[in-house]
Amino acid sequence: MTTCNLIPECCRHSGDDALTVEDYGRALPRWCLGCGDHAILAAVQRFCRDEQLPPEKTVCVSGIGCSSRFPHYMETYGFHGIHGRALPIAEGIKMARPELNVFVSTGDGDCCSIGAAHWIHAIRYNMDMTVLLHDNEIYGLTKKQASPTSPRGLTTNTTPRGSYLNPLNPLSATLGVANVSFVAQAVDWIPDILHEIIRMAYHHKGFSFVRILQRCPAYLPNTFEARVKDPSSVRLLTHEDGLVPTPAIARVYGNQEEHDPLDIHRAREIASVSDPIPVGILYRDPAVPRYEDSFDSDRTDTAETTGTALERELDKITIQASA
Amino acid sequence: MQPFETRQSRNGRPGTLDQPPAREDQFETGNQKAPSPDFRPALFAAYRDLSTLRHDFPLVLGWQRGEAVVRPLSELINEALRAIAPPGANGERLRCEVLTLEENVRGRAAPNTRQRLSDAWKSAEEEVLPASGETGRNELRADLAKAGAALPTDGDLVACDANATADVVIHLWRGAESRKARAFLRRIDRLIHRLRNLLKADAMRTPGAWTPESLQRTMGGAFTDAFDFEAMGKAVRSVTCRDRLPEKRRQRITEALSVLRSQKLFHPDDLSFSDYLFDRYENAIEAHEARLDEIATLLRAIGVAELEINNWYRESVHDGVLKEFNRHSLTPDQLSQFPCPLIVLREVPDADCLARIVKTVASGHPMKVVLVNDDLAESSNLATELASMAIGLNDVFVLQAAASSLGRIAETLSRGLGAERPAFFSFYSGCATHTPLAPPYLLAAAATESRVFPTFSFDPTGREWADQFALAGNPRPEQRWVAHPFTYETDGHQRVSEEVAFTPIDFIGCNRRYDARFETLSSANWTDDMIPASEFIDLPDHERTGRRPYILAVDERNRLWRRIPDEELLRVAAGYSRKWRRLQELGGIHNSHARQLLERERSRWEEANKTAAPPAPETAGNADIDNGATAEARPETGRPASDEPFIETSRCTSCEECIKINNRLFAYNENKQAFIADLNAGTYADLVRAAENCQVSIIHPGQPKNPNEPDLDTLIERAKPFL
Ligand SMILES: Cc1ncc(C[n+]2csc(CCOP(=O)(O)OP(=O)(O)O)c2C)c(N)n1
Ligand code: SF4
Ligand code: SF4
Ligand SMILES: [Mg+2]
Repeated sequence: MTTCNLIPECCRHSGDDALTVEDYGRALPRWCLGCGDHAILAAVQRFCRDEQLPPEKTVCVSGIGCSSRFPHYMETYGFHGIHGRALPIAEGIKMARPELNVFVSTGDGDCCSIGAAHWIHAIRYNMDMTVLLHDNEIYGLTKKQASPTSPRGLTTNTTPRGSYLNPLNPLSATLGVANVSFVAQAVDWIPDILHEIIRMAYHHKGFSFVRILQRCPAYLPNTFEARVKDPSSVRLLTHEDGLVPTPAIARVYGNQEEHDPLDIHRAREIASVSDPIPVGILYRDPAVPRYEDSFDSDRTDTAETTGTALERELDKITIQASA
Repeated sequence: MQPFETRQSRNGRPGTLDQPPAREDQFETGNQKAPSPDFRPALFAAYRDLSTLRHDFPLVLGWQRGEAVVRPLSELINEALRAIAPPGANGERLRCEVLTLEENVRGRAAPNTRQRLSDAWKSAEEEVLPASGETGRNELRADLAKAGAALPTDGDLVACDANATADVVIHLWRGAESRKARAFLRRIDRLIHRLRNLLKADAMRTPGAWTPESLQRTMGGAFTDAFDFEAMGKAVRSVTCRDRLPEKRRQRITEALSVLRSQKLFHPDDLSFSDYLFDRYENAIEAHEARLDEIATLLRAIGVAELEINNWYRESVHDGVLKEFNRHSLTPDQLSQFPCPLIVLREVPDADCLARIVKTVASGHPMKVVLVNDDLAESSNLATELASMAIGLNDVFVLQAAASSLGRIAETLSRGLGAERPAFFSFYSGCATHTPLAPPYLLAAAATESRVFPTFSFDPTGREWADQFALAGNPRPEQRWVAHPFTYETDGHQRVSEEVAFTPIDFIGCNRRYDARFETLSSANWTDDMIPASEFIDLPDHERTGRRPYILAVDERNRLWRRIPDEELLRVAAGYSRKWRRLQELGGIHNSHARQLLERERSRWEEANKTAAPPAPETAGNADIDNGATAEARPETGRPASDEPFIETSRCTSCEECIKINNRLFAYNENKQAFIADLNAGTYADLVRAAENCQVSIIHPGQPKNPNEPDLDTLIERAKPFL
């Protein structure tokens, strides 16, 4: 980031400024007790602490939903957007201020239903941001309505006789879009792995899509319980260029597969399986170009240049009184 | 250089091979020394007129997408033809027309003149158009104009002459410096913009920002009648004013801003960098030193700007660091962000100057020093040594090459010129005196071909030696000498073909200054004890006795001669041979360490195989592995040995459940994961309830501590699933 190495790294932050997990926390979360969103929030805050991300250089963006309350709980800049529009807002931020760290929290309804069109194009744009899909397989905020990822047959307030459709698979959908560059899956109930995947997603320069299976004990108390209790319901995708589980995790989660994140064909096969739940990096290609880089012009946008450009555009639609 | 393949012309009278050269009367029969005519290496026979040959000169020094490029004319024309002439018969006419024009343009790129390709193209068009026939003329003119427009770049045409190397180097250096300048200016622009924003945000907190006039200004020109700015001012004023920037900080920002705005190290409009171009080393050093204060001041301002923009400035730490920062603190990395002086020397500097160059360059000052050698023939000449010596300085980018390969090494050259470190380049121009028969291009190529001046580069940024050192650009780098098929006719019109190697002696033989060191013999005097010099040079002394080395040469009439070099020439050639061998080793070719290691390993293997014991039974081995694996996979229980309650903290999902039950008994650690903070702060009932509520079942209540707690039996029963 710095142009001259006049100020040594060690002098930039003084040690006593080091931020703690609490420094990244703001209001007390209003999610239900036991909600998986707490785990995602904790993992992101822990990650920010580990990397000492400057709060004033970090923005959390969201749409609408329980999960989209995320920015309220982060002591960074935040943008609680409108339903389905988290991604275009995040893209605008990245375009104007490419140096900011952008995190997006979006629900399965927010991303895969009302925001699906934005989702597809955001993958194609491949702008550098970390996208967390809080997938609880339900509309939580509107009190148990079926979402595109709800399992077939699930009884909800909008599907009293059980949902008729097969669920949409967010991993397969993402892997099918041109320019996809990073796809991972995590579960909220293995915090260390969640933290590690968020770390890798952040360090990938491009659109990092992380689907997180998130428990909603309020409305789907039984959907996840069996999977949470049985470690063999999770298959860890390991690789020296991907997830390397700690020995302690590896002992509990013995169901593992070695998978090279560059292998998109195998990634698609893995994505299509939901039992056991694949957890790890499915796909990563750092070589995919980023949209924001293609506009890396020599020009600096100042208030004046923006003002002039706006005037020019507005002039086109101004109705002038006739002489 | 293309492989030499020649067929002896029969212009001379029959029997040329055996006959003495043109001025017969000056020769005596037998193997007398002859005051020779102009001899050239036999392999040069095919290259009398280079202008008709499509080779990599002239070069075009152009710009593509803002980058300086150096490309052979023929390559640009091929690219244009690919774009406009369809393959097959359809495009054939266009191809022929354009290639004819190319020959004309090539002829215009005369030594020591510089002309734009587009100008040469226009003049050539006029010349190749037929004098009459209006339709034909127009058609051809249209074709050629189309081809001209399809050329990927325009620029100066450069023949392989005395200035070619300097011109190419300066052009690519300007390219590298412009790139750097563009990036730097843009960064400065951004810093200025951000610093101004800080000051502007501060100004918005002053009462001056709330006057009706300034509020009106913020609205721009439109709709001003619709607002009552007086009232707006009152409303805005009622909002509490936040703190202003401390005076010291504002001053620091203002000062940095003014330094950034007035910097003169980069000029957006002048990208010729003529202030940084030198032909004398002393002048370069003087100018460089005179700039150091300005560089330090600008870097200090950038440092302040970056710290302020990121809100990292801590007066207790940074005031001191910045105060002490001056011209003596500048590191090579910092210096290389500014224009790097380019010094083009036309002769090997004297020892004194050389010592100073080494001193500056070794201390990391990012100078780009270019030495263009016109004469290599002197054996004592340091020209062929300096580049290999510079590798020893470790952190210096080094490139050695002959002018003939300028088109091919442009990319490496560019990399060296743009590298954030010092660089040393040694070139051979091919413009030696006393070489009337060989044009500079041919002579330069011959220097590479003969291993007198091999091409090599050293880039210290490579990860390890194999990435740093490259011998690319030499013909047949795996061989000691480069051999080409050579065909001639004998007296009796018999064709003889043989492989002829090109050695340092052939290269030296191009120079008339050394004529006296050769004995030149016609075929009548060739004897069986003669062997090609390429074989003789590396023979040990005892094998040399009784043999005479020769090289093959032709005279102006393409008659073939053998020339016998004297002892001194052989000694010099053996020296070049050894140097080439050393470069090969550095380039990983026939590496003697690797060979010796291989030999040692082989004999060890042979030795071991002779005495090897029969392999151990397989079961024993497997048993070992099994034991290991079981030990490794033995699950860790993670439980304390006693009946103490505990939480598997690293699996906690921070869901708040247990904390809500009792936030003194349970607390979060620094990772926001729960642990038992104070067992005395809660009851066994709290523990059991928390265990039941914990979604991921990681709370283990253990055994009750207080035997008097009510309802213990039920609690113990409820706790069972979580023990
Ligand atoms: C345009 C619009 N349509 C519908 C709604 C109603 N609405 C609020 S949240 C929500 C779904 C949220 O589900 P999801 O994105 O999965 O988030 P969760 O609450 O499950 O975290 C809907 C449909 C809205 N707020 N705005
Ligand atoms: S309703 Fe579900 S998703 Fe929403 S806060 Fe409660 S548990 Fe979480
Ligand atoms: S209930 Fe379990 S998961 Fe939740 S905070 Fe407590 S220990 Fe952690
Ligand atoms: Mg949801």
